[in-house]
Amino acid sequence: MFAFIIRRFLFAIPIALAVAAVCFSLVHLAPGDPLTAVIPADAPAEVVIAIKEAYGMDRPLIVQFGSWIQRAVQGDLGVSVATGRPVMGDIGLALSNTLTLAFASAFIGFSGGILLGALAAFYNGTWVDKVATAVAITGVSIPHYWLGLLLVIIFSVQLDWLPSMGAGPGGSSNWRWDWAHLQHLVLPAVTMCFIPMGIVTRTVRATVSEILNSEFVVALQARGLRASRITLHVAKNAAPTVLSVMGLQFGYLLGGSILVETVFSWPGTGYLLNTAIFQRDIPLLQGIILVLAMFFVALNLLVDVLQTLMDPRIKRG
Amino acid sequence: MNPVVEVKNLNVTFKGEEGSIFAVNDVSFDLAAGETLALLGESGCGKSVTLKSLMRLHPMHKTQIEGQVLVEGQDVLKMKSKALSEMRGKTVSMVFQEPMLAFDPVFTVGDQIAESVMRHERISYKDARQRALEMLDRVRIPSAAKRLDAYPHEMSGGMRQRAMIALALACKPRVLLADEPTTALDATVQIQVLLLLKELQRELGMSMIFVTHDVGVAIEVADRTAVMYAGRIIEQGPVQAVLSKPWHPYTQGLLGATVHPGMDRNQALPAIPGAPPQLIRRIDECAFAPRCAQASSRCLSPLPSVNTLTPRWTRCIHADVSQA
Ligand SMILES: Nc1ncnc2c1ncn2[C@@H]1O[C@H](COP(=O)(O)OP(=O)(O)OP(=O)(O)O)[C@@H](O)[C@H]1O
Ligand code: SF4
Ligand SMILES: [Mg+2]
Repeated sequence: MFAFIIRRFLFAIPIALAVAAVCFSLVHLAPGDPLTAVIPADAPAEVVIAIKEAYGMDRPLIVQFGSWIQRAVQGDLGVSVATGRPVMGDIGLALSNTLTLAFASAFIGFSGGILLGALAAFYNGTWVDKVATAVAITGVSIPHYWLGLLLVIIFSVQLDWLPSMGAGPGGSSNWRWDWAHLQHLVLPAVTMCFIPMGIVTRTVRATVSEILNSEFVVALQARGLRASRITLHVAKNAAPTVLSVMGLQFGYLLGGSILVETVFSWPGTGYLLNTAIFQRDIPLLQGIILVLAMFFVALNLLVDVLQTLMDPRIKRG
Repeated sequence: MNPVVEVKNLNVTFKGEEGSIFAVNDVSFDLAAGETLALLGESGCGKSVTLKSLMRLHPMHKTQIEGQVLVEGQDVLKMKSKALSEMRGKTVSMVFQEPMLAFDPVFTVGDQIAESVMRHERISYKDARQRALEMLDRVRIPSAAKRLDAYPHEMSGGMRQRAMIALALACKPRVLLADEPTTALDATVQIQVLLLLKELQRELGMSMIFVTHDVGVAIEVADRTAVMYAGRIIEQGPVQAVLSKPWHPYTQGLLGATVHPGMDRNQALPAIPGAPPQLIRRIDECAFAPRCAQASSRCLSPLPSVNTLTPRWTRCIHADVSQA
């Protein structure tokens, strides 16, 4: 088992490197010189060269990549072109806000999805199933920035129940789990929970109804087991599949919240990414993409390992 | 002495979107303590459905069951769900046809046996595991202690079926339902498992209903036999008598067909041309008529009811005349 985890971990390293290379070169493939944003158009040639040297941009790309990786591993992602602050600090703050939002959405979405999916499977073919399936389909088909705007109009503008902007007192750096802050979390978290909820509903429904139709459930009933005990058997059988889908959805919540964070001015990585793009702040842009991608790789690794631990049928040789 | 199991006029109908399936029609039989009844018949004739009715194991909403299924005098079809689940696995227990499909794949075999024991007896997990170990030993699984923590997929087919038997017998049931317990196994393993079942049955003094499509197996294990065709029992009596001198043309054909191990279960019986009818309507005439060499016009009108209380009977007008 331990050997499997080590091996799976080693497999993740080349993937991580490839991801890093892609996000490093993406910026260089984009049109325009990254320095045009900070250097005045009429700056003398020697000033331009001096600035390029200061940012290391006069060296060959591969060397730039090497030293970028080396520094990144040590937690140094360079200095923001726009603010002059170390990129890592800003990303760290934004990441913790994004994680807060992602956890909240995942919690609502996953519990809702498990509940709806299980109900749909147990009452397969009845109106309960139809309602749950309809909710799931609606959830994945509504564009979430549109839903976000709708919620803002209803709950902030019309009813004035919940705030629609920011992360509460203290801005981006002062998150607390109290109502003053939590009320800012409600609308963006609800907006984002619908897609994972829909997808988890569908997965749970399909997985659980397949399990319920299998012979061994009849065999469990034939042993006289109580319904609660049979539910436990069904849950353990469904867990690996459902878990891997949830892992993937959590990854999307981390990376895919740009629009929602922008709509609600939520100071997370998505919002920061948006800022970086508009300001052509290359070090910041690279740093965010790199951190998010690494999160995704790590999450996949975690899900794989958990799945293997949970399902005895997967060979761990 | 009262029989342990009495089935009276059992009808099982599955309601589906494309109409109903009349899987079991007017089936009656009983089973004395310690006795073995073999249910014989081709694939799809309703053997498994009959067996599952003894524990009411059908899908709840789409199944319509009529008649009486008395187990130790209690009507299973009228039981509340609590009484039903207490009876299942304790009084009546089942060995399934394909043990790979009847074990939960993600729980160890030992834990599944222990779980079953803990459901029916006030006993700690530790003692229940001990019982599981004894049972695995008893069905002669080599190095049983190690197998306790094996998952079903880590066992061979024969070993899995032994483990299934261990699970079914762990609570010392009065009645064992064995649904083709050896069909999925190789010939040699098949015989070992049959002998084991017989031996344990004697030891525990259980009654047994043994489903099979194999005439040789029926003669080997059973005291009496009931031959099914298209959802009905068409002949019933002592196994030796019925299979050495069958009255019903279908039973005669069944014996003419050489049944060999590993034969495709869905393969048509060579001695009887044609195939069994679809069960999409209630068949009151003789369902075997389209395939019967002795059929006459009388066979196509509803058959008179037979006295199922006699030790041996058959549902065939022709045989009625010749045997009377
Ligand atoms: N849950 C169900 N829903 C609908 N039809 C069913 C159901 N269970 C069984 N049937 C139908 O009832 C009929 C009898 O099936 P059954 O399983 O009793 O056959 P069998 O005699 O056990 O055959 P085999 O030797 O193949 O196991 C078949 O036509 C089958 O398709
Ligand atoms: S009742 Fe008629 S058709 Fe049916 S088995 Fe007897 S002789 Fe054949
Ligand atoms: Mg069957």
